Amino acid sequence: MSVHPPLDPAHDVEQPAYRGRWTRRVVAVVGADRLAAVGAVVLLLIVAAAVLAPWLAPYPDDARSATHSLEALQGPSAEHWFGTDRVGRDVLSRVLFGARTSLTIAAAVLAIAAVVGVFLGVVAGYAGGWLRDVIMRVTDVFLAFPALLLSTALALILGPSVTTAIIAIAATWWPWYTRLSASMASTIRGRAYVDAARCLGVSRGRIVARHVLPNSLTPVLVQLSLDAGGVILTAASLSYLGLGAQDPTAEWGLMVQQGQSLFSTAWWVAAFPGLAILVTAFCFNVLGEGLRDALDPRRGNR
Amino acid sequence: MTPTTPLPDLSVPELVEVRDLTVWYGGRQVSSMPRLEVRPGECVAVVGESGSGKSTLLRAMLGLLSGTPAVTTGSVTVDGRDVLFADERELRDIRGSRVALVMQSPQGSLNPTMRLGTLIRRVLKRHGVRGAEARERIAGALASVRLPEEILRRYPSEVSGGQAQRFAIAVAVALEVAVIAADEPTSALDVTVQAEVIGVLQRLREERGLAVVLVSHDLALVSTVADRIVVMKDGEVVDEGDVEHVLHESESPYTRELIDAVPVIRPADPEPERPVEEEAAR
Repeated sequence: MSVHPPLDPAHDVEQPAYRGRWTRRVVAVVGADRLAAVGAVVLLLIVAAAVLAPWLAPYPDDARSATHSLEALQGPSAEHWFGTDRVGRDVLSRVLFGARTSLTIAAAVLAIAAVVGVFLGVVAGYAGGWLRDVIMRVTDVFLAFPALLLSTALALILGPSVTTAIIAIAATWWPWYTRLSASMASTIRGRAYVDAARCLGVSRGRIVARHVLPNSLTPVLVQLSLDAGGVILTAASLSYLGLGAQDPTAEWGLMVQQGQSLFSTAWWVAAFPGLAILVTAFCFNVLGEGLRDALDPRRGNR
Repeated sequence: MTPTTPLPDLSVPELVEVRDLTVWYGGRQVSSMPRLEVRPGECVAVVGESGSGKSTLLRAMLGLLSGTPAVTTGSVTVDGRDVLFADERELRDIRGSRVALVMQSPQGSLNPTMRLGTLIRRVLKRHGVRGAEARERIAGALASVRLPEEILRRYPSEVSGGQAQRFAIAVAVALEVAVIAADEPTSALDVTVQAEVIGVLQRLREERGLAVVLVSHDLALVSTVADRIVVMKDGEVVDEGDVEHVLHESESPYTRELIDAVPVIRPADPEPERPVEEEAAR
């Protein structure tokens, strides 16, 4: 006979203070953070512009190999809102197509860096011991390598192109994700639910994939957003140095470089792509900071 | 006073058997247990203050000490299988099929990114139970801990501490383990919820013949469910025996100290003093 009161399932559906996933929380907090919300909206517009570039651009051919020598270096006007460059190409069209190049580079670099970096980091952080040491030392070697030097070397070997720029930037970017997720994973490794999973006979691989990884991702998400601006800037500087995208590819950094010497006479050639870099990087940063605040456990009731 | 359950049938083989277990950590002995047997349907409580080595004992039972700097000697078998020196693969087999752990922090022991339903289904799948049988077992387990099925759609942050703890027990029930090892399962809960969780463990013993090894610092609480109590201090067993003996006839000064430390609620009108376990059940 039990001396304890019977449990009634009906009285037991108490409502906790906070319901829902972190996604809802992000929407709620980013929504309340004006600057982050503006950043998110502007970024959506930039992505839309990149996707719709062939339809939005007044002179889509100018983003490729077309040249119009007779219309060179015209200032902003009704036909050419952002003016034309040295060979008469419409700057607006090239800025729109440039969004594709820059966003593709950012997405590719961050995807490679995050997948490689997070995988190694989570393994290192969960496994600990010699495996962690090996992975972290390799990571340190890559971190010690100057990004620009590596990019120059790669450009010499592979020839300068967008792909080279992606490889070069990703090669120097992943170690940050390894460090970040290794420290997250080694914290999560000590959480009760990881022990609980072990005690239920869950294998190591599953524990990493289903318990450690999903719970390590929050700071990675924040870092991705904060880094996107940096990657776009780095890609632009590589192109600016002639190590990345090559003419006639429309790429913001390259366009700034092409317009630099003309700045005193035709400011619009460099100014508009430069502004595009600035706005995009800025929006990624404010969004990233908004996300960081939203997901910070010290804020709110989680 | 009568025992809360019939005496264990001594002809049934032990589910858990500890012999001369000693655990060292960094050259210091942290836990030692000369012998302990737990039979089906039995509840053995290990009581002691923090640092007494009681949780280490539980971790040894689940094979959680292998691969740590802890050094162990002696033997611990669960269902006749050694868990101290088994390799990881063998341990994975024993854990969750023969023995399950219920931990102290209720929500903390549930992955916050997984719905409870996903969690329990995956654990069952891991042990080869799927489809209709899995659904049946989950329904049965939830009913036996008195949780509504609706809870399966929730995330751990959306349930209360008592619900989370009962869910952890339900996972063990669905796996049809023989032994539940509970490490301070109620110390993070408030008093009425503690009684719920203890009540659930009690009923599972009666209805399903589950053996329970209950580690706690709360003598009053464990005396309401345990058949036998082992008292530990500084890594050593200082007293053991059935509940009666430990509560009323113990000669160990430390046990007396623990009993005296239990706060007794005094009713306004004088009544004959009630046994400790009834007090704790309120």
